Amino acid sequence: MSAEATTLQKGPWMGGRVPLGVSFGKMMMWFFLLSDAFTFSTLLVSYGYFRITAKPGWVSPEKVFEGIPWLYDGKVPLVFVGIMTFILIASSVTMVLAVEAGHRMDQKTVQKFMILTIIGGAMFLTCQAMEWSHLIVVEHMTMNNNPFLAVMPDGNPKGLHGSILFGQLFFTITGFHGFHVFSGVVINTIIYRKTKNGDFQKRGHYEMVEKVGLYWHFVDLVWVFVFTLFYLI
Amino acid sequence: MAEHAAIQAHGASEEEGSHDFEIHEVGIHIPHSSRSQIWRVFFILLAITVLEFLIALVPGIRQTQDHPNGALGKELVVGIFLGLTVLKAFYIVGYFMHLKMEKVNMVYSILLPIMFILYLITLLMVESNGSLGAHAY
Repeated sequence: MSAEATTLQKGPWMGGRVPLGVSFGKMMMWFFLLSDAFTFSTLLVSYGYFRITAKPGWVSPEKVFEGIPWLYDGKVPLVFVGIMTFILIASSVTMVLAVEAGHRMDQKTVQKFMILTIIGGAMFLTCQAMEWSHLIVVEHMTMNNNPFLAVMPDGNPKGLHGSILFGQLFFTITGFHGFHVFSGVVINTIIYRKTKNGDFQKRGHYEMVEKVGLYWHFVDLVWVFVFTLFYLI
Repeated sequence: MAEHAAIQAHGASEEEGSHDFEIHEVGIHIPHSSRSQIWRVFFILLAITVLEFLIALVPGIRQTQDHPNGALGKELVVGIFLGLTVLKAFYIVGYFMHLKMEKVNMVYSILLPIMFILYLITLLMVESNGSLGAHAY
């Protein structure tokens, strides 16, 4: 019987081994992110569908996101969203630097980079709040109102407003993403506090930093797609 | 518990080198990336984003409402943007999330399900062409 048990344990799926090569927690974070990717993809794919079929036509993004909300009304299209994108990419870098410092068991550096990541996330949320409030208060764009002019395939008929779905999809998708950023900032803050308390130093590894890092990079990844689909195309 | 012990052993193994056998047996693999590599990926991402902005904003490159005679047609620009976005996604997932350095089993269990998303995209693109102009939203 003992011989049988030994044979059973030899296969890669027979226990005592980790077939995927990652710890349980990290694997589950990956699978959660996969499910989240499906959620975002349904939102973004339906955005694409509605944008192609919408009548009257869609708005031109460089006309919608033209100034810097509340600060500058001139024509600097996409500059503000460029700043937002830069902030998020930069906070992704500070996050991965925190993970790297965690591998070296360097508590002080992990703390420093976690703080920078939290600040980056907060700055991004501030920018998004400015953008949203400007669109709602100044431009009067809501879920049922699209004040921006449509771009038709055959030129631009004067005074014809774009599909109201623009506002609905914009607020739903950037809102859902912004909520992810907000959750990320909260989780990062918790992990920062645990780092500061020396919890991970006692545990002997900084895998929790790696896990929240995965989540944070995923949020950045989603923004890359949102940025292209809403602001560039 | 076992995984924590393994990770702990891994952390210690860099100094002592005596726990390698244990880690190998359990099979947990912790991908690393050096600081220089992280900064390299950051500048690649930044460069791609700057390129996207140039295509979007420099007058005369893409066809827009204001510049109908741009060099690049609408479909081509959309294709370029989507290609650059997927490239950025590759760098973020591959290097920042370390997926490129994980075991091949892990890589495929994350990447293969993505084909369902591609399937959804295909379905809805086919559908949207069929019903083009049929809806007034």
